[in-house]
Amino acid sequence: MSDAIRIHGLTKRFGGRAAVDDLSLSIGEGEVFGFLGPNGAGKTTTIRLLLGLLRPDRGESFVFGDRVPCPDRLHEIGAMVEEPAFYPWLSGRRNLDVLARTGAPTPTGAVDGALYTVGLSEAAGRKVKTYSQGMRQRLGLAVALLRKPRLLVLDEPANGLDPAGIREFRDRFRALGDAGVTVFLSSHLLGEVERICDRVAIVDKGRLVAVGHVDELGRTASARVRVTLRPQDLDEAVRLLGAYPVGLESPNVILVTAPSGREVNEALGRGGVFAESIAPERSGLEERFLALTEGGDDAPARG
Amino acid sequence: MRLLGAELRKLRRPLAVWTAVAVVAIVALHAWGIQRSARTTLSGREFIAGPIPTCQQMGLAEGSTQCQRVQEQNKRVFCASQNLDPGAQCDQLVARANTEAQSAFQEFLKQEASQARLARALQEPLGAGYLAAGMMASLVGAVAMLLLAAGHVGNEWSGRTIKQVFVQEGRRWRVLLAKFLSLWMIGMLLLIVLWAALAALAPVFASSYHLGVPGVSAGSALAISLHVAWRSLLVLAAFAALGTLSAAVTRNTLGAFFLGFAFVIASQFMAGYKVIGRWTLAQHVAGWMGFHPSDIVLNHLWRDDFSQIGDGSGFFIKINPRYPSHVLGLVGLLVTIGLCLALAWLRVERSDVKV
Repeated sequence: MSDAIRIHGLTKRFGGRAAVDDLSLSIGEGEVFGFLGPNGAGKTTTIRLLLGLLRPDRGESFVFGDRVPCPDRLHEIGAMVEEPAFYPWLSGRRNLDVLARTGAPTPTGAVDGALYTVGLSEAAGRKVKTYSQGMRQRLGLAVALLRKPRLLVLDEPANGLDPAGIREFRDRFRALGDAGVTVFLSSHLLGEVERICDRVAIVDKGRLVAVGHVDELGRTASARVRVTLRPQDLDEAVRLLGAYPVGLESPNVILVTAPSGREVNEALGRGGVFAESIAPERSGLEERFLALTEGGDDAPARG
Repeated sequence: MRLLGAELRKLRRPLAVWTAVAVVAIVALHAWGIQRSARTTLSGREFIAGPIPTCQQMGLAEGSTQCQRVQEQNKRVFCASQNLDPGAQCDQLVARANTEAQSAFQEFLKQEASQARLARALQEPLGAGYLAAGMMASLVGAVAMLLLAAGHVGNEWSGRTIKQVFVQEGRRWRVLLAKFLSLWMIGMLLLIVLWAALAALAPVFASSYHLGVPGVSAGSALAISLHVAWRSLLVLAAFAALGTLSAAVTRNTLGAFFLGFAFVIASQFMAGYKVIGRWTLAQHVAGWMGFHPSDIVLNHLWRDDFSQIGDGSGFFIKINPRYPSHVLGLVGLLVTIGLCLALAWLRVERSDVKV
């Protein structure tokens, strides 16, 4: 598998602070790749460097083998950088039309097709200044999909979307990945990343701290499992789960750090204790993320 | 061409519409002022027609009793003022004074002929283009173009849309060139709109202000307009290039306007100075357009007023300002356009897009 993206020793400083610090990474063609990190970790800066919006202080990056900046490759890249901005006095369709005319030609019907894909056909005639944030995100995705790209670079695409929208985006990205499109997805929503990505990278303070398959990263750390019991079973349950760290959340709820809920259920069942419910509180990936980023600037949201 | 089309589509915005409305309003008021001023000036002939105006000058029938009575009265008053009795001596003095007044009036008419002719041209729809083009090549046009540049170029950064643009088109020079060309084109469109608005007002002026000078044929009215209009296109290009540079330097809507405006004002002020004057945009525009202080286009970039500042003895003061030639104006404008675009490209090409 050839590389869609190859980053080597990329460094970008703003003032004295390194936003991206000696970052190296490869993403194969057709991969759905998650790019994780707390606020200020350098995710957006990395994306801007990849798209040629910023010039690196050191290092280089390549897209489909061409060194960035690579204007001739841009038609193969669909991008959404942070909150997408549009011309508020123009309609959604007109915005898309203007951006379709900027750069490489688009296929016939690309504008209407992209609007339909993101579910904005009905609102396309309205001025963008009347759009909600979720609608702007959808329009941003429509721009990214205009030229049927081989590579999608998406920076927090689910911002401002409602749960149904998040699920819709998730399914769409997965489908694009299945269709052979490389997806480079930066997100706070660890649950979403876990569901749709093949591999993930975790960055913190501009440096790469972990990279690997989602399952691998998740397995290397234990998950936290929330167990709800009848109060009279609490002591017995704690005894049965003695092999794992157990914390008491309330008189009938305990938090167990274990490889998975299945192990917890088995241990309780062997002792004849049956839980009211067993639910994962944090996934393995989330535990790993928090461990690597020291809790981050803010806690990641679950998607 | 596709990129230029995209840029022109973006220009359909409230700012462009309101700029056009403001320019039309200002220039229409100015045109109205020109008509009033011309009528007042030309009607001054009655006051310099000599001590004993003719019946025609007084608007009375030749040889009528009323005219004779008024002339007799005027003669008595004039002779008394000269301490003379009505008679041959006074008649000689009256004849000499009348001749001098007539010659002064002819000189006056000659001096005012240009203004009168152009004021009359404004009463012809085809002639109205003279003022439209002149004003677009003046301070009014410069401000309008800077406003449009601020909204069209600077606002790409303020509105954070520039990242969308550069992600679609990585060759930044193309984006910048398309922006400059679209600005220039909107400037031309503004000129056409302004001409059309003044053309619509021409019949109103013609019916409201009788200037008492011969009319201008449609052909010569159009010739007057086109002579200025085609020259103004290059000036509009210079204003568009200056606006593009201001926006590229400040990467901000307000900053783009104020930087460009400061440059224009500084250029106006410095145009009257000996050493630096010839390097200013104001002098280049004045040279290329053939503007002169007595022109009907009063608000052009460089007026002689600025060179009158100071006592005229300083090193920088231009005591006898010489207007630059068309060639110097042309070269100056071409260099301005090239320099502005090159600097804008350097600035944008090397800058990070952080918005």
